[in-house]
Amino acid sequence: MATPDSARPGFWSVRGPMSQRSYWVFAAIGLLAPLIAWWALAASGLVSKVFMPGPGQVLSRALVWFNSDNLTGDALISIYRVTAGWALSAVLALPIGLMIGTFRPVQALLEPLTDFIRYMPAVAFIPLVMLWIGIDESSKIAIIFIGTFFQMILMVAEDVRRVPAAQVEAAQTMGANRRELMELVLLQSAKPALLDTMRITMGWAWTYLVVAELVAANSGLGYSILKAQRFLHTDKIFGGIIIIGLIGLITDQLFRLAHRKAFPWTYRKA
Amino acid sequence: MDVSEGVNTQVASRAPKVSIRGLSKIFGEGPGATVALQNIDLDIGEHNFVTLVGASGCGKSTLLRIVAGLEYHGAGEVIANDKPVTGPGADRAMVFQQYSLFPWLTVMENICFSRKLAANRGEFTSAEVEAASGRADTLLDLMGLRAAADAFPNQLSGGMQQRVAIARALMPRPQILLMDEPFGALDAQTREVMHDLIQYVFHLEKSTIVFVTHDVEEAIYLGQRVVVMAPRPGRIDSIYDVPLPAQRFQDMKLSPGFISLKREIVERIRETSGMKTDLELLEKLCGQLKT
Repeated sequence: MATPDSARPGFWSVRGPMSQRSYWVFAAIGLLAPLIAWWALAASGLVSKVFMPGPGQVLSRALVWFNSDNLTGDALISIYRVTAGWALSAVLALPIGLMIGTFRPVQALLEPLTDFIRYMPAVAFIPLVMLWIGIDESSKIAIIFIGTFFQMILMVAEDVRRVPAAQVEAAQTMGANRRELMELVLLQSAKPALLDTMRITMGWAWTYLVVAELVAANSGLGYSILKAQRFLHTDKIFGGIIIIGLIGLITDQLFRLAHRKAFPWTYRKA
Repeated sequence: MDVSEGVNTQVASRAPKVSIRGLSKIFGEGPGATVALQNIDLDIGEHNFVTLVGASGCGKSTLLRIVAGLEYHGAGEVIANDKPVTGPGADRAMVFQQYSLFPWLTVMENICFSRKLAANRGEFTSAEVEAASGRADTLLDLMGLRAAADAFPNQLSGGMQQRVAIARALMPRPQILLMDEPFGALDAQTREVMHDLIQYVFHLEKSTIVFVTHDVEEAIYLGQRVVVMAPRPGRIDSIYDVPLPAQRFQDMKLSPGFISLKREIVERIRETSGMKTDLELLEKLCGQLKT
Protein backbone atom coordinates (compact mmCIF):
# COMPACT_ATOMS: atom_id res chain seq x y z
CA MET A 1 0.00 0.00 0.00
CA ALA A 2 1.43 3.31 -1.02
CA THR A 3 1.70 5.85 1.72
CA PRO A 4 -0.25 8.97 0.87
CA ASP A 5 1.68 12.17 0.29
CA SER A 6 1.71 14.42 3.28
CA ALA A 7 -0.87 17.14 2.91
CA ARG A 8 0.49 19.96 0.75
CA PRO A 9 -0.38 23.26 2.42
CA GLY A 10 -3.12 25.00 0.45
CA PHE A 11 -3.24 28.47 -1.10
CA TRP A 12 -4.77 29.91 2.02
CA SER A 13 -2.18 28.81 4.55
CA VAL A 14 -0.19 31.78 5.79
CA ARG A 15 2.51 32.57 3.23
CA GLY A 16 1.62 29.27 1.61
CA PRO A 17 3.08 27.98 -1.64
CA MET A 18 1.52 28.53 -5.06
CA SER A 19 2.42 27.14 -8.46
CA GLN A 20 3.29 29.50 -11.30
CA ARG A 21 0.18 28.41 -13.18
CA SER A 22 -2.21 29.07 -10.31
CA TYR A 23 -0.55 32.43 -9.82
CA TRP A 24 -1.33 33.47 -13.38
CA VAL A 25 -4.90 32.18 -13.12
CA PHE A 26 -5.44 34.35 -10.06
CA ALA A 27 -3.74 37.32 -11.70
CA ALA A 28 -5.98 36.97 -14.77
CA ILE A 29 -9.06 36.82 -12.56
CA GLY A 30 -7.89 39.93 -10.72
CA LEU A 31 -7.47 41.83 -13.96
CA LEU A 32 -10.48 40.54 -15.88
CA ALA A 33 -13.12 40.52 -13.15
CA PRO A 34 -13.32 44.31 -12.78
CA LEU A 35 -13.42 44.65 -16.58
CA ILE A 36 -16.30 42.21 -16.83
CA ALA A 37 -18.10 43.81 -13.89
CA TRP A 38 -17.69 47.19 -15.55
CA TRP A 39 -19.00 45.87 -18.85
CA ALA A 40 -21.94 44.13 -17.16
CA LEU A 41 -22.87 47.22 -15.19
CA ALA A 42 -22.78 49.41 -18.30
CA ALA A 43 -24.70 46.88 -20.39
CA SER A 44 -27.41 46.37 -17.76
CA GLY A 45 -28.64 49.91 -18.34
CA LEU A 46 -28.98 50.47 -14.60
CA VAL A 47 -26.56 53.39 -14.74
CA SER A 48 -26.75 56.27 -17.19
CA LYS A 49 -24.14 56.20 -19.95
CA VAL A 50 -23.05 59.67 -18.91
CA PHE A 51 -21.99 58.35 -15.52
CA MET A 52 -20.67 55.00 -16.60
CA PRO A 53 -19.86 54.44 -20.27
CA GLY A 54 -19.15 50.82 -21.18
CA PRO A 55 -15.78 49.44 -22.26
CA GLY A 56 -16.87 49.38 -25.90
CA GLN A 57 -17.88 53.02 -25.84
CA VAL A 58 -14.61 54.01 -24.18
CA LEU A 59 -12.63 52.05 -26.72
CA SER A 60 -14.41 53.60 -29.70
CA ARG A 61 -13.92 57.06 -28.20
CA ALA A 62 -10.22 56.30 -27.74
CA LEU A 63 -10.03 55.24 -31.39
CA VAL A 64 -11.63 58.48 -32.51
CA TRP A 65 -9.17 60.32 -30.28
CA PHE A 66 -6.32 58.41 -31.86
CA ASN A 67 -7.50 58.83 -35.46
CA SER A 68 -8.66 62.42 -35.58
CA ASP A 69 -7.86 64.09 -32.28
CA ASN A 70 -4.09 63.56 -31.99
CA LEU A 71 -3.97 61.07 -29.09
CA THR A 72 -0.35 60.29 -29.96
CA GLY A 73 0.58 63.96 -29.66
CA ASP A 74 -1.20 64.27 -26.31
CA ALA A 75 0.51 61.14 -25.01
CA LEU A 76 3.95 62.22 -26.19
CA ILE A 77 3.77 65.70 -24.71
CA SER A 78 2.57 64.24 -21.40
CA ILE A 79 5.32 61.63 -21.41
CA TYR A 80 7.79 64.42 -22.09
CA ARG A 81 6.52 66.57 -19.21
CA VAL A 82 6.47 63.70 -16.73
CA THR A 83 9.89 62.41 -17.76
CA ALA A 84 11.45 65.86 -17.74
CA GLY A 85 10.06 66.74 -14.30
CA TRP A 86 11.07 63.36 -12.94
CA ALA A 87 14.53 63.43 -14.51
CA LEU A 88 15.21 66.90 -13.14
CA SER A 89 14.21 65.61 -9.69
CA ALA A 90 16.48 62.62 -10.07
CA VAL A 91 19.49 64.63 -11.21
CA LEU A 92 19.26 66.79 -8.10
CA ALA A 93 17.86 64.30 -5.58
CA LEU A 94 20.48 61.60 -6.20
CA PRO A 95 23.54 63.64 -5.11
CA ILE A 96 21.65 65.42 -2.34
CA GLY A 97 20.21 62.15 -1.02
CA LEU A 98 23.63 60.52 -1.21
CA MET A 99 25.08 63.34 0.87
CA ILE A 100 22.23 63.16 3.41
CA GLY A 101 22.62 59.41 3.71
CA THR A 102 26.39 59.67 4.11
CA PHE A 103 27.05 62.70 6.29
CA ARG A 104 25.18 63.39 9.50
CA PRO A 105 25.59 67.19 9.35
CA VAL A 106 24.04 67.26 5.86
CA GLN A 107 21.25 65.07 7.18
CA ALA A 108 20.62 67.46 10.08
CA LEU A 109 20.79 70.43 7.73
CA LEU A 110 18.47 69.19 5.00
CA GLU A 111 16.30 66.32 6.15
CA PRO A 112 13.96 68.13 8.55
CA LEU A 113 13.52 70.88 5.96
CA THR A 114 12.74 68.37 3.22
CA ASP A 115 10.37 66.53 5.52
CA PHE A 116 8.54 69.80 6.08
CA ILE A 117 8.31 70.81 2.43
CA ARG A 118 7.17 67.42 1.20
CA TYR A 119 3.90 67.77 3.08
CA MET A 120 3.06 70.94 1.21
CA PRO A 121 0.56 70.16 -1.56
CA ALA A 122 2.11 70.49 -5.01
CA VAL A 123 -1.21 71.74 -6.36
CA ALA A 124 -1.09 74.75 -4.09
CA PHE A 125 2.14 75.81 -5.72
CA ILE A 126 0.42 76.37 -9.08
CA PRO A 127 -0.21 80.10 -8.61
CA LEU A 128 3.34 80.62 -7.42
CA VAL A 129 4.79 78.59 -10.25
CA MET A 130 2.76 80.64 -12.75
CA LEU A 131 3.99 83.79 -11.11
CA TRP A 132 7.63 82.76 -11.00
CA ILE A 133 8.05 80.63 -14.09
CA GLY A 134 5.16 81.65 -16.30
CA ILE A 135 2.75 79.45 -18.18
CA ASP A 136 4.95 77.75 -20.74
CA GLU A 137 6.26 74.18 -20.78
CA SER A 138 8.66 74.67 -17.87
CA SER A 139 5.84 75.48 -15.46
CA LYS A 140 4.25 72.06 -16.05
CA ILE A 141 7.59 70.40 -15.55
CA ALA A 142 8.06 72.47 -12.39
CA ILE A 143 4.83 71.17 -10.86
CA ILE A 144 5.84 67.58 -11.50
CA PHE A 145 9.27 68.39 -10.10
CA ILE A 146 7.79 69.84 -6.90
CA GLY A 147 5.58 66.78 -6.54
CA THR A 148 8.42 64.28 -6.77
CA PHE A 149 11.66 65.98 -5.77
CA PHE A 150 11.29 66.18 -2.00
CA GLN A 151 9.95 62.67 -1.62
CA MET A 152 12.74 61.42 -3.83
CA ILE A 153 15.46 63.04 -1.70
CA LEU A 154 14.21 61.26 1.39
CA MET A 155 13.93 57.92 -0.37
CA VAL A 156 17.41 58.19 -1.87
CA ALA A 157 18.84 59.13 1.54
CA GLU A 158 17.12 56.11 3.06
CA ASP A 159 18.45 53.82 0.33
CA VAL A 160 21.97 54.99 1.07
CA ARG A 161 21.50 54.62 4.81
CA ARG A 162 20.30 51.04 4.32
CA VAL A 163 23.69 49.96 3.00
CA PRO A 164 24.88 47.48 5.66
CA ALA A 165 27.40 49.05 8.05
CA ALA A 166 29.58 45.93 7.70
CA GLN A 167 30.14 46.68 4.01
CA VAL A 168 31.30 50.21 4.75
CA GLU A 169 33.46 49.10 7.66
CA ALA A 170 35.00 46.25 5.68
CA ALA A 171 36.07 48.76 3.03
CA GLN A 172 37.43 51.05 5.73
CA THR A 173 39.60 48.29 7.15
CA MET A 174 40.92 47.71 3.64
CA GLY A 175 42.06 51.31 3.59
CA ALA A 176 39.29 52.99 1.61
CA ASN A 177 39.13 56.75 2.02
CA ARG A 178 35.99 58.86 2.21
CA ARG A 179 35.59 59.31 -1.53
CA GLU A 180 36.21 55.64 -2.22
CA LEU A 181 33.64 54.70 0.41
CA MET A 182 31.04 56.85 -1.33
CA GLU A 183 31.89 55.88 -4.90
CA LEU A 184 32.88 52.25 -4.55
CA VAL A 185 30.73 51.11 -1.64
CA LEU A 186 27.72 53.27 -0.73
CA LEU A 187 26.72 54.15 -4.28
CA GLN A 188 27.41 50.69 -5.70
CA SER A 189 25.62 48.94 -2.87
CA ALA A 190 22.59 51.23 -3.00
CA LYS A 191 22.21 51.14 -6.80
CA PRO A 192 19.49 48.46 -7.00
CA ALA A 193 17.46 50.22 -4.31
CA LEU A 194 18.01 53.54 -6.07
CA LEU A 195 16.66 52.20 -9.35
CA ASP A 196 13.60 50.94 -7.46
CA THR A 197 13.18 54.40 -5.97
CA MET A 198 13.38 55.88 -9.46
CA ARG A 199 10.70 53.44 -10.62
CA ILE A 200 8.37 54.28 -7.75
CA THR A 201 8.84 58.05 -8.06
CA MET A 202 8.17 57.82 -11.79
CA GLY A 203 4.73 56.51 -10.81
CA TRP A 204 4.24 59.50 -8.52
CA ALA A 205 5.32 61.87 -11.26
CA TRP A 206 2.48 60.53 -13.41
CA THR A 207 -0.07 61.20 -10.68
CA TYR A 208 0.89 64.87 -10.81
CA LEU A 209 0.35 65.09 -14.57
CA VAL A 210 -3.31 66.16 -14.48
CA VAL A 211 -2.46 68.77 -11.87
CA ALA A 212 0.46 70.05 -13.95
CA GLU A 213 -1.69 70.33 -17.04
CA LEU A 214 -4.12 72.54 -15.13
CA VAL A 215 -1.59 75.28 -15.85
CA ALA A 216 -2.60 76.87 -19.14
CA ALA A 217 -2.01 73.74 -21.17
CA ASN A 218 -3.56 73.14 -24.57
CA SER A 219 -2.36 69.60 -25.11
CA GLY A 220 -1.59 66.45 -23.15
CA LEU A 221 -3.48 63.57 -21.62
CA GLY A 222 -4.25 65.42 -18.41
CA TYR A 223 -5.43 68.46 -20.34
CA SER A 224 -7.67 66.26 -22.51
CA ILE A 225 -9.23 64.72 -19.42
CA LEU A 226 -9.91 68.19 -18.00
CA LYS A 227 -11.40 69.37 -21.30
CA ALA A 228 -13.59 66.27 -21.57
CA GLN A 229 -14.89 67.05 -18.11
CA ARG A 230 -16.16 70.40 -19.37
CA PHE A 231 -18.20 68.68 -22.10
CA LEU A 232 -19.21 65.75 -19.91
CA HIS A 233 -17.41 63.33 -22.25
CA THR A 234 -17.15 60.66 -19.58
CA ASP A 235 -15.98 58.08 -22.10
CA LYS A 236 -12.97 60.25 -22.95
CA ILE A 237 -12.21 60.76 -19.24
CA PHE A 238 -12.27 56.98 -18.81
CA GLY A 239 -10.08 56.57 -21.87
CA GLY A 240 -7.53 59.15 -20.68
CA ILE A 241 -7.29 57.61 -17.24
CA ILE A 242 -6.82 54.12 -18.64
CA ILE A 243 -4.18 55.28 -21.12
CA ILE A 244 -2.21 56.96 -18.32
CA GLY A 245 -2.51 53.73 -16.35
CA LEU A 246 -1.23 51.70 -19.28
CA ILE A 247 1.72 54.01 -19.90
CA GLY A 248 2.55 53.77 -16.20
CA LEU A 249 2.32 49.99 -16.26
CA ILE A 250 4.61 49.76 -19.28
CA THR A 251 7.16 52.16 -17.75
CA ASP A 252 7.10 50.17 -14.55
CA GLN A 253 7.76 46.93 -16.40
CA LEU A 254 10.61 48.55 -18.34
CA PHE A 255 12.18 49.65 -15.07
CA ARG A 256 11.85 46.13 -13.69
CA LEU A 257 13.44 44.71 -16.82
CA ALA A 258 16.30 47.18 -16.55
CA HIS A 259 16.71 46.20 -12.91
CA ARG A 260 17.05 42.54 -13.82
CA LYS A 261 19.52 43.32 -16.60
CA ALA A 262 21.62 45.77 -14.60
CA PHE A 263 21.76 43.91 -11.29
CA PRO A 264 21.72 40.19 -12.06
CA TRP A 265 23.40 39.49 -8.74
CA THR A 266 20.29 40.49 -6.78
CA TYR A 267 18.31 37.73 -8.47
CA ARG A 268 20.78 34.82 -8.19
CA LYS A 269 20.35 32.77 -5.08
CA ALA A 270 22.20 29.77 -3.77
CA MET B 1 52.66 51.57 36.06
CA ASP B 2 54.22 48.24 36.89
CA VAL B 3 52.82 46.69 33.77
CA SER B 4 54.26 49.24 31.35
CA GLU B 5 57.69 49.12 32.99
CA GLY B 6 57.69 45.36 32.75
CA VAL B 7 56.89 45.53 29.07
CA ASN B 8 59.63 48.07 28.37
CA THR B 9 62.38 45.99 29.90
CA GLN B 10 61.13 42.66 28.72
CA VAL B 11 60.37 43.28 25.07
CA ALA B 12 62.45 46.27 24.18
CA SER B 13 63.55 44.90 20.83
CA ARG B 14 60.29 43.22 19.86
CA ALA B 15 57.43 45.53 20.70
CA PRO B 16 53.99 43.88 20.84
CA LYS B 17 51.87 44.13 17.70
CA VAL B 18 48.99 45.50 19.70
CA SER B 19 49.42 47.38 22.93
CA ILE B 20 46.45 48.71 24.89
CA ARG B 21 47.03 50.91 27.93
CA GLY B 22 44.44 52.24 30.36
CA LEU B 23 41.76 52.20 27.70
CA SER B 24 38.25 53.35 28.50
CA LYS B 25 35.20 53.79 26.33
CA ILE B 26 31.93 55.42 27.25
CA PHE B 27 28.83 55.14 25.10
CA GLY B 28 26.37 58.03 25.12
CA GLU B 29 26.39 61.25 27.09
CA GLY B 30 24.94 62.57 30.33
CA PRO B 31 22.92 60.34 32.67
CA GLY B 32 22.26 57.75 29.93
CA ALA B 33 25.96 57.10 29.40
CA THR B 34 27.29 53.60 29.97
CA VAL B 35 30.85 52.52 30.55
CA ALA B 36 31.56 50.05 27.77
CA LEU B 37 35.19 49.53 28.68
CA GLN B 38 37.07 50.49 31.79
CA ASN B 39 40.82 50.62 32.22
CA ILE B 40 41.83 47.92 29.75
CA ASP B 41 45.48 46.85 29.59
CA LEU B 42 46.46 44.22 27.05
CA ASP B 43 49.54 43.35 25.02
CA ILE B 44 49.40 41.07 22.03
CA GLY B 45 52.71 39.85 20.64
CA GLU B 46 53.64 39.21 17.05
CA HIS B 47 52.21 36.01 15.54
CA ASN B 48 49.96 35.52 18.55
CA PHE B 49 46.46 34.15 18.44
CA VAL B 50 44.41 35.78 21.17
CA THR B 51 40.73 35.13 21.70
CA LEU B 52 38.35 37.39 23.61
CA VAL B 53 35.36 35.77 25.33
CA GLY B 54 32.72 37.01 27.69
CA ALA B 55 29.01 37.45 28.21
CA SER B 56 27.18 39.89 25.99
CA GLY B 57 27.76 43.47 27.04
CA CYS B 58 31.32 42.84 28.24
CA GLY B 59 32.69 45.07 25.48
CA LYS B 60 34.72 42.43 23.62
CA SER B 61 33.45 43.55 20.22
CA THR B 62 33.89 47.19 21.15
CA LEU B 63 37.49 46.51 22.15
CA LEU B 64 38.14 44.82 18.81
CA ARG B 65 36.49 47.65 16.91
CA ILE B 66 38.65 50.17 18.75
CA VAL B 67 41.78 48.30 17.67
CA ALA B 68 40.38 48.29 14.12
CA GLY B 69 39.90 52.03 14.39
CA LEU B 70 36.19 51.73 13.66
CA GLU B 71 35.28 53.05 17.08
CA TYR B 72 36.99 55.98 18.77
CA HIS B 73 38.05 55.63 22.35
CA GLY B 74 38.19 57.78 25.43
CA ALA B 75 41.06 57.69 27.89
CA GLY B 76 44.10 55.52 27.32
CA GLU B 77 46.04 54.57 24.25
CA VAL B 78 45.98 51.87 21.62
CA ILE B 79 49.12 51.14 19.63
CA ALA B 80 49.05 48.75 16.70
CA ASN B 81 52.05 48.10 14.45
CA ASP B 82 54.02 50.68 16.44
CA LYS B 83 51.57 53.44 15.57
CA PRO B 84 48.79 54.92 17.70
CA VAL B 85 45.41 53.91 16.29
CA THR B 86 43.59 56.97 14.99
CA GLY B 87 41.30 55.32 12.46
CA PRO B 88 40.86 52.23 10.31
CA GLY B 89 43.75 51.15 8.11
CA ALA B 90 44.79 48.38 5.77
CA ASP B 91 47.38 47.08 8.27
CA ARG B 92 44.52 45.88 10.50
CA ALA B 93 42.09 43.77 8.51
CA MET B 94 38.73 42.87 9.96
CA VAL B 95 36.42 39.93 9.36
CA PHE B 96 32.81 40.54 10.37
CA GLN B 97 30.11 38.06 11.38
CA GLN B 98 28.15 38.55 8.17
CA TYR B 99 26.82 40.95 5.52
CA SER B 100 30.23 42.44 4.88
CA LEU B 101 30.79 41.07 1.36
CA PHE B 102 30.03 43.31 -1.59
CA PRO B 103 27.09 41.54 -3.25
CA TRP B 104 27.58 43.30 -6.60
CA LEU B 105 31.10 41.91 -6.98
CA THR B 106 32.05 38.33 -7.78
CA VAL B 107 34.08 36.29 -5.30
CA MET B 108 37.30 37.13 -7.14
CA GLU B 109 36.43 40.83 -7.35
CA ASN B 110 35.61 40.86 -3.64
CA ILE B 111 38.99 39.35 -2.82
CA CYS B 112 40.73 41.87 -5.08
CA PHE B 113 38.92 44.91 -3.68
CA SER B 114 41.93 46.19 -1.73
CA ARG B 115 44.10 45.78 -4.82
CA LYS B 116 41.56 47.78 -6.79
CA LEU B 117 41.76 50.59 -4.24
CA ALA B 118 45.54 50.68 -4.51
CA ALA B 119 45.47 50.44 -8.31
CA ASN B 120 42.95 53.27 -8.60
CA ARG B 121 45.28 55.49 -6.63
CA GLY B 122 48.15 54.59 -8.92
CA GLU B 123 50.05 53.09 -6.00
CA PHE B 124 50.90 49.95 -7.92
CA THR B 125 53.67 49.19 -10.36
CA SER B 126 52.90 46.56 -12.97
CA ALA B 127 55.13 44.07 -11.17
CA GLU B 128 53.14 44.59 -8.01
CA VAL B 129 49.87 44.07 -9.86
CA GLU B 130 51.22 40.78 -11.12
CA ALA B 131 52.31 39.73 -7.65
CA ALA B 132 48.90 40.65 -6.31
CA SER B 133 47.19 38.55 -8.98
CA GLY B 134 49.32 35.62 -7.85
CA ARG B 135 48.28 36.26 -4.27
CA ALA B 136 44.60 36.41 -5.19
CA ASP B 137 44.98 33.05 -6.91
CA THR B 138 46.78 31.60 -3.93
CA LEU B 139 44.08 32.79 -1.54
CA LEU B 140 41.39 31.42 -3.82
CA ASP B 141 43.02 28.00 -3.63
CA LEU B 142 43.86 28.23 0.05
CA MET B 143 40.24 28.97 0.89
CA GLY B 144 38.87 26.34 -1.46
CA LEU B 145 37.07 28.96 -3.53
CA ARG B 146 38.48 28.10 -6.95
CA ALA B 147 35.17 26.78 -8.30
CA ALA B 148 33.26 29.76 -6.92
CA ALA B 149 35.59 32.48 -8.26
CA ASP B 150 32.99 33.95 -10.61
CA ALA B 151 29.96 33.45 -8.38
CA PHE B 152 28.24 36.26 -6.54
CA PRO B 153 28.13 36.18 -2.72
CA ASN B 154 24.34 35.65 -2.74
CA GLN B 155 24.89 32.34 -4.46
CA LEU B 156 27.16 30.99 -1.72
CA SER B 157 26.44 29.27 1.58
CA GLY B 158 27.25 31.09 4.81
CA GLY B 159 30.47 29.12 5.26
CA MET B 160 31.66 29.89 1.74
CA GLN B 161 30.82 33.56 2.25
CA GLN B 162 33.03 33.67 5.34
CA ARG B 163 35.86 32.03 3.38
CA VAL B 164 35.59 34.89 0.90
CA ALA B 165 35.55 37.43 3.72
CA ILE B 166 38.72 35.93 5.21
CA ALA B 167 40.47 35.76 1.83
CA ARG B 168 39.53 39.36 1.13
CA ALA B 169 40.87 40.46 4.52
CA LEU B 170 44.15 38.59 3.94
CA MET B 171 44.67 39.99 0.45
CA PRO B 172 46.61 43.16 1.41
CA ARG B 173 48.84 41.09 3.79
CA PRO B 174 47.61 42.74 6.97
CA GLN B 175 49.90 42.29 9.93
CA ILE B 176 46.96 42.07 12.26
CA LEU B 177 43.77 40.15 11.56
CA LEU B 178 40.78 41.12 13.66
CA MET B 179 37.84 38.73 13.69
CA ASP B 180 34.48 39.68 15.20
CA GLU B 181 32.53 36.46 15.80
CA PRO B 182 33.30 35.41 12.23
CA PHE B 183 31.76 31.96 12.58
CA GLY B 184 28.87 32.94 14.84
CA ALA B 185 26.26 32.51 12.12
CA LEU B 186 27.55 29.17 10.84
CA ASP B 187 26.33 25.70 11.73
CA ALA B 188 28.46 23.55 14.05
CA GLN B 189 29.98 21.33 11.34
CA THR B 190 30.96 24.21 9.07
CA ARG B 191 32.42 25.97 12.07
CA GLU B 192 34.77 23.05 12.80
CA VAL B 193 36.04 23.14 9.24
CA MET B 194 36.56 26.89 9.51
CA HIS B 195 38.45 26.47 12.78
CA ASP B 196 41.03 24.25 11.15
CA LEU B 197 41.19 26.55 8.15
CA ILE B 198 41.88 29.63 10.24
CA GLN B 199 44.55 27.70 12.19
CA TYR B 200 46.18 26.87 8.90
CA VAL B 201 46.03 30.50 7.80
CA PHE B 202 47.51 31.58 11.13
CA HIS B 203 50.55 29.34 10.71
CA LEU B 204 50.97 30.01 7.00
CA GLU B 205 50.55 33.79 7.02
CA LYS B 206 52.24 34.35 10.40
CA SER B 207 49.45 36.80 11.18
CA THR B 208 48.64 38.21 14.56
CA ILE B 209 45.02 37.33 15.19
CA VAL B 210 42.57 38.83 17.67
CA PHE B 211 39.40 36.79 17.67
CA VAL B 212 36.15 37.69 19.44
CA THR B 213 33.66 34.96 20.26
CA HIS B 214 31.03 34.04 22.83
CA ASP B 215 31.82 30.33 22.37
CA VAL B 216 34.30 29.23 25.05
CA GLU B 217 35.24 26.03 23.23
CA GLU B 218 36.05 28.01 20.11
CA ALA B 219 38.09 30.46 22.17
CA ILE B 220 40.22 27.69 23.70
CA TYR B 221 40.58 25.65 20.53
CA LEU B 222 41.82 28.60 18.50
CA GLY B 223 43.61 30.80 21.02
CA GLN B 224 47.07 30.64 22.49
CA ARG B 225 45.69 32.98 25.11
CA VAL B 226 42.07 33.38 26.13
CA VAL B 227 41.10 36.78 27.49
CA VAL B 228 37.94 36.56 29.59
CA MET B 229 36.01 39.80 29.80
CA ALA B 230 33.23 40.78 32.19
CA PRO B 231 30.37 43.27 31.82
CA ARG B 232 29.15 46.32 33.73
CA PRO B 233 31.60 47.94 33.34
CA GLY B 234 33.33 46.12 30.47
CA ARG B 235 36.72 44.94 31.71
CA ILE B 236 39.29 42.19 31.46
CA ASP B 237 38.51 39.66 34.16
CA SER B 238 41.27 37.11 33.63
CA ILE B 239 43.69 35.79 31.03
CA TYR B 240 44.37 32.08 30.50
CA ASP B 241 47.30 30.56 28.64
CA VAL B 242 46.03 27.60 26.67
CA PRO B 243 48.17 24.53 27.51
CA LEU B 244 47.84 22.95 24.07
CA PRO B 245 50.50 22.48 21.39
CA ALA B 246 50.62 24.96 18.53
CA GLN B 247 49.12 22.44 16.15
CA ARG B 248 45.51 21.82 17.17
CA PHE B 249 43.31 18.86 16.34
CA GLN B 250 39.58 18.38 16.86
CA ASP B 251 40.26 15.45 19.26
CA MET B 252 41.93 17.82 21.68
CA LYS B 253 38.52 19.21 22.54
CA LEU B 254 37.86 15.97 24.42
CA SER B 255 41.14 15.92 26.37
CA PRO B 256 40.91 16.38 30.16
CA GLY B 257 43.07 19.52 30.05
CA PHE B 258 40.82 21.13 27.49
CA ILE B 259 37.66 20.21 29.36
CA SER B 260 38.88 21.44 32.73
CA LEU B 261 39.98 24.76 31.22
CA LYS B 262 36.64 25.06 29.51
CA ARG B 263 34.85 24.40 32.80
CA GLU B 264 36.94 27.00 34.56
CA ILE B 265 36.30 29.67 31.94
CA VAL B 266 32.60 28.91 31.61
CA GLU B 267 32.18 29.20 35.37
CA ARG B 268 34.20 32.41 35.44
CA ILE B 269 31.93 33.92 32.78
CA ARG B 270 28.86 32.76 34.65
CA GLU B 271 30.10 34.34 37.86
CA THR B 272 30.94 37.66 36.25
CA SER B 273 27.93 37.96 33.97
CA GLY B 274 25.15 37.85 36.52
CA MET B 275 23.82 34.62 35.06
CA LYS B 276 24.60 32.87 38.32
CA THR B 277 22.05 35.02 40.12
CA ASP B 278 19.51 34.02 37.50
CA LEU B 279 20.25 30.39 38.24
CA GLU B 280 19.88 30.94 41.95
CA LEU B 281 16.59 32.68 41.33
CA LEU B 282 15.43 29.73 39.27
CA GLU B 283 16.41 27.30 42.01
CA LYS B 284 14.58 29.37 44.58
CA LEU B 285 11.46 29.36 42.41
CA CYS B 286 11.68 25.60 41.95
CA GLY B 287 12.04 25.19 45.71
CA GLN B 288 8.93 27.26 46.27
CA LEU B 289 6.97 25.19 43.79
CA LYS B 290 7.90 21.97 45.59
CA THR B 291 6.74 23.11 49.01
